[in-house]
Amino acid sequence: MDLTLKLKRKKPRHSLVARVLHWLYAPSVLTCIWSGFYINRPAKIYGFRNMNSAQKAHFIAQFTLIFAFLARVYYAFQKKNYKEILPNRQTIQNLPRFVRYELFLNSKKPQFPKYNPGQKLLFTGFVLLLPLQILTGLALYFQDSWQKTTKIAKGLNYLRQLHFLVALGNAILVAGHLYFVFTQGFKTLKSIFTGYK
Amino acid sequence: MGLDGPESKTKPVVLWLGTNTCAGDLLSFLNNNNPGYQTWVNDYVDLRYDYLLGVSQGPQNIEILDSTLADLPGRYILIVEGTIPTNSYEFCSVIGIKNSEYWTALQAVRELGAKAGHIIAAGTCAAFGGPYAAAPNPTGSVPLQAILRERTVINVPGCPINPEWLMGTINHLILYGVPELDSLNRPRLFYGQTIHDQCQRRAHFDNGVFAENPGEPWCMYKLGCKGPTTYADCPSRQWNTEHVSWPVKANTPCIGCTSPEFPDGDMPFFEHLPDVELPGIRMQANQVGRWAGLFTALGIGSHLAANIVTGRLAGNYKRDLASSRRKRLLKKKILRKKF
Amino acid sequence: MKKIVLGPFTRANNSCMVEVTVENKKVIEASCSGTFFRGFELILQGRDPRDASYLTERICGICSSVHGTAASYALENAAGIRPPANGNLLRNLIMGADFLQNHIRHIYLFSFVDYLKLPQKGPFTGSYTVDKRFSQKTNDMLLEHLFQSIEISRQAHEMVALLGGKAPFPHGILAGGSTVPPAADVVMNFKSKLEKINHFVRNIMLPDVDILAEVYSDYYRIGHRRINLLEYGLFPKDEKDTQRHFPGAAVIDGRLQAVDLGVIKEHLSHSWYSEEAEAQHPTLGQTIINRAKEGAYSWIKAPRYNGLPMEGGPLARLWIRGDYRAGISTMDRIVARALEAKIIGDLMESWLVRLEPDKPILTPFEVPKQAEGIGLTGAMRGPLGHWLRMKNGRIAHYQIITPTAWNFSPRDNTGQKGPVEEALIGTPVEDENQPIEIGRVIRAFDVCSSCSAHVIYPGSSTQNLTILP
Repeated sequence: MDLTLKLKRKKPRHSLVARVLHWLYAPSVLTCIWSGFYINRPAKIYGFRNMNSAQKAHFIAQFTLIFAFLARVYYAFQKKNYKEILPNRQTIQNLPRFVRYELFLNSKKPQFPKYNPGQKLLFTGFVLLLPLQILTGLALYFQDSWQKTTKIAKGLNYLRQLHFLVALGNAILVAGHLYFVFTQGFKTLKSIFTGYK
Repeated sequence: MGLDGPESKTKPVVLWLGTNTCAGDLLSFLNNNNPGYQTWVNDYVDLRYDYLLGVSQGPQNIEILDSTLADLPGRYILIVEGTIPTNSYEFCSVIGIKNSEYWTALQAVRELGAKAGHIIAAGTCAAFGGPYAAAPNPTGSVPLQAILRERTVINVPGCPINPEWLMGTINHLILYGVPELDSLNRPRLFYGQTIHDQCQRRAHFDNGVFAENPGEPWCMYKLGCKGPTTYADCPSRQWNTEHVSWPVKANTPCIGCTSPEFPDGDMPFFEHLPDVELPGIRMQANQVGRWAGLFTALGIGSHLAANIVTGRLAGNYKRDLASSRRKRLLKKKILRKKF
Repeated sequence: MKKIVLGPFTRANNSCMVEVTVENKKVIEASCSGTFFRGFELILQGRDPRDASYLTERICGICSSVHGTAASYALENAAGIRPPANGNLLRNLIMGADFLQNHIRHIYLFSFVDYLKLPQKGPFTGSYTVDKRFSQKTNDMLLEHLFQSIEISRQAHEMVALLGGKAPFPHGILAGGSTVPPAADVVMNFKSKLEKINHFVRNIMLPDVDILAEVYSDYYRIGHRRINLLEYGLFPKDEKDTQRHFPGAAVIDGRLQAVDLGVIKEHLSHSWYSEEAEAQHPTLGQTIINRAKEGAYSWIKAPRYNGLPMEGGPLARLWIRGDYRAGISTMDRIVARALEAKIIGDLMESWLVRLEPDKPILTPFEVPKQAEGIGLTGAMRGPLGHWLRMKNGRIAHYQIITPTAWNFSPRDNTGQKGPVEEALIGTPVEDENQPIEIGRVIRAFDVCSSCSAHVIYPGSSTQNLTILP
C-alpha cells in the first residue's frame, strides 16, 4: 500500500462546524458555571473583581451559550448527527459491558461506534439540562416580561433554586466530561482541535 | 375632627373582613397619615364592617353584613385580610354565628365575595397564602383568589402591607377604577419593580461590598436578601408613612414578603436559596451544592486512582504515543523515499 | 335565663367568640372560644432557627416585636451568647415603642368605645346605646382624644420603624442584638416622637382613664377574680439579663413566689384536640385536631400553673412590681395599662440616654447544631414564652405559650374556668339585647385571639427554670 495514502488515512471525527460550536459553548458553559457560583455566593476565590464583572461575564457567556446551543441543535438536525449522540437500543445493550470496563471489572476495552454509552448519556444529559438552564436563566433575566412563566415555578425564588440545581447538574457533567477526555489519551482530545483522530 | 363627613350614600361602602389573620395589615393601615385612617373613614368611605375596630358586636355585625349584601349587591368593596382554611379545616377560622350556626371564613368569603363590586386581598395571607399557609399548611389554607375563581381579586401583598399600598389601591379604585395589574394581580403602581432595582445599596452589590452580619451598612445579598426576587417599592417609598426606614436601611435583609412564595420560598431568610426538599430530606441549597461537589470529586478521584493503579491511564497515553511514533516514522519513510 | 352569644366579638385583635348565660341580670355561666387555629408549631419544624424571630412575629400583628424578642432570647439562650449593651437597649426601645402603640390603641380604640356615645356611622355603626354615662361635653372631649390617639399610636409605630425597619414585624430584633446603630439623627427622631407620646400619655390618656375610673367606678367591683397572676419579667435591665425592669413572678392568692416553669401543665379537655395528644410528652407531642370532640369549644388549650388559671398583663406586672395593688377588676386592669404606658415611656427616656454611638449593637455568633433554649418575656397582654429545641442546626421543636392562652383559656380537665371566664361570672347585664358589660370585662384583659390561635404545647417537661420575683 502506498505509504502516503496510509498516512493520509486519518479518521475524521469532528466536522469544522461541530468544532467551532464546541469551542463557543465550552468556554461559555465554564464561564457561566464559574461566574454563576460567584453570583450565588460571592467570594474572592472565584477571581472576579466584583459582582458587576461577574454578572457581565455571565451575561456575555449566557448569550454565547444560547446561540451556540441553538446552532448546535439546528446542525444536529440538519446533518442528522443527533443519532451519534442520543442513546438507542444498542446503547442500552452495550451499557453493562461499558460499565464493567469502567469499573475495572473487565480490562479489555470494548469497542463502540463514535461515542461510547457513557459519552452518549453524558451528552444527552447536556441536551436535556441545557434547555432547562437556558429557560430558567431567561425567565430570571427577563423577570418582568416573563412573569407569567415564573408563576409555573411558583415564584422567582424557586426559579432561582431550579436554575442553581440544574447548574449543579451541568457542572457535574462538565467535570465528568473533562475527566474522561483527559484520561483517554491525547488522540481523542486532539480531534476536537484538528477534527481527526 | 369627628365623624362629620359626607353622608354615607355618596361614599363607597367598604367591608373589611378578617379571616385567619394576625390583624397586622389593618394595624399597619392605621399608620396611614395622609389621609389618616380617621379622615379616610370620615370623608372617603363608609367602612361599615371592620373586624378589628368595628364597634358592633355579634348579631349586629351579621346584620350589617347581611343588609349590605341585600341592599348594595355589586356596589361595595370587599377587603379580605387573612388566609382561608378549607376542606376539613374550614372550622379553623370561624367568623361568627349566623342563623345559630358557625359561620366559617370560607362561607363568609364566598357569600360576600360573590356580590362584591371590587375585591381586595389585603396582605400576603389573603393574596397568596402567606405564613399560615406555609408548609405543611396545617389548616389547608388558600388565598382569596383560590376561592373566588371567577372574580378579579386585586392582590395587595406585603407582610404587613405598607399603609400606602392599600390606601393607594383603594383610592385608585374609587377615583380611577381598577389600577393596572401585573400577572399576579398586584397593582403595578406599587409592585412594578424589584426591591433590588431600586435599592440604595445597589452600588455596594455591583461593587461586591457585602455585609457579613446583620447590622452592617453594606449590601445584604450574602445574608439572603430577597431584594432581587421581590417586587415592591420599599426602597423608594420606605416605612411607615413617615418613610423613615425599611428593612435594608435597618441593616437587615429583605425577606421577600410581597412574593407569592412567601414565606416558604424565601426561607431560610438568611440564606440565598430556599431549602431543597425531597421526601424525608430537607437540605439547604448550598449544602446540596457542597455534597454534589464532594460526590463528584470522590467519583472522579476514585476512578482516577483506579485508572492509575491498574495502569490503564498510562496505557492509554502509551498507546497514543506509540501510534503517533508510528506515524512519525511513516512520515520519515515517505520523506526518505521522496528524496 | 338567657344565653347570649357574641360572635364575631370585635376589638380583640381578630375576632373571637363569647357565650354567656344570664340569669337575674347577672352572668352565671361563661365560655370563651378562640375560633382560629393556625398550627405555627408545625410550620416552624425543620426551619432555620434564625428565622424564628421573623416568622413568629407573624403570629400577632399588634404585639409582633415581643414574639421577635422572645425568639431572639431563646436562640441566644441556646447559642450561649449575650447581646452587647446597645443591642439590649435598642431591642428594649423597639419593644417599648410597640408597647406604647398597643396600650394607646387598646385603651382608646378597643376599650374606650365601649363607654362612649358614638355617632352611628362608619365603623361605629351598630354600637350599643345603653349605659353611656359621660356628659356630652366629656364625651366629645374623649371622642376627640380617641381620634388623637390614632395619630399618637401611629407615631409609636414610626418609632418601631426607626429602629426596626418597619412596623409591624420589625426586622431590628435578632438574636445577638439589634441592627440600627444609635446615630444622632435616629435617636433624636425617636426621642422627639417619644416625648410627644409621653406628653399624650401623661396629660391626656392618664387623666382620661381617671375620668373613666371615676364615672364607672362600679367597674372596680366587676370582673373580679382570685389574685392569681403570672409574669416572666419584661425588659432586661442590662445585657446580662440578671434583672428585669418589670420582674417576673407567680402570684397565688396575692402571695408572690418565684416562677417555676415545671409546674406549668396544659389541659385539653375543652379544646378541639384529641386527648391522646395530652398523654404525650409535650416536647414530642403533636397537635391533633379533633373538631368533633364532645364538650370542646375552643382552639385555645388551657395552660395551668400548679393547676391554677393565671392572669397576665399590665395589672399583673404592676402588682408584682409593687406599683399597683388596689385590686383585681375590670377598671384596675384598664388603669394599670395606662400606668404601665407611663412607666414604660419614662423608662424609654432613660434608655435613650444610655445608648452609646459607635459601640457594637450585635454579637455575631455561630448557630449551634444541637441545643435548647428558652425565651421568656412579658408581652403586652401577659407572659410569653418560646421554647426552642434544635437538631442538626434546624428547629426540631418549637413551643410558644402566649399570654392569651393564659387569659382566654377555656375550662381545664377539672372544669375550672379560664381567667376571663372567671372574671365574667357575676357581671351584671342590664339589657340582654345590649350586653355591653360583657365586652367591657373581656376587653380589659386585652384579649388577642390572633396570639392564642396557634397555641403550642406548654407542658410538664418544659425544663425547670426559676425566675426570681
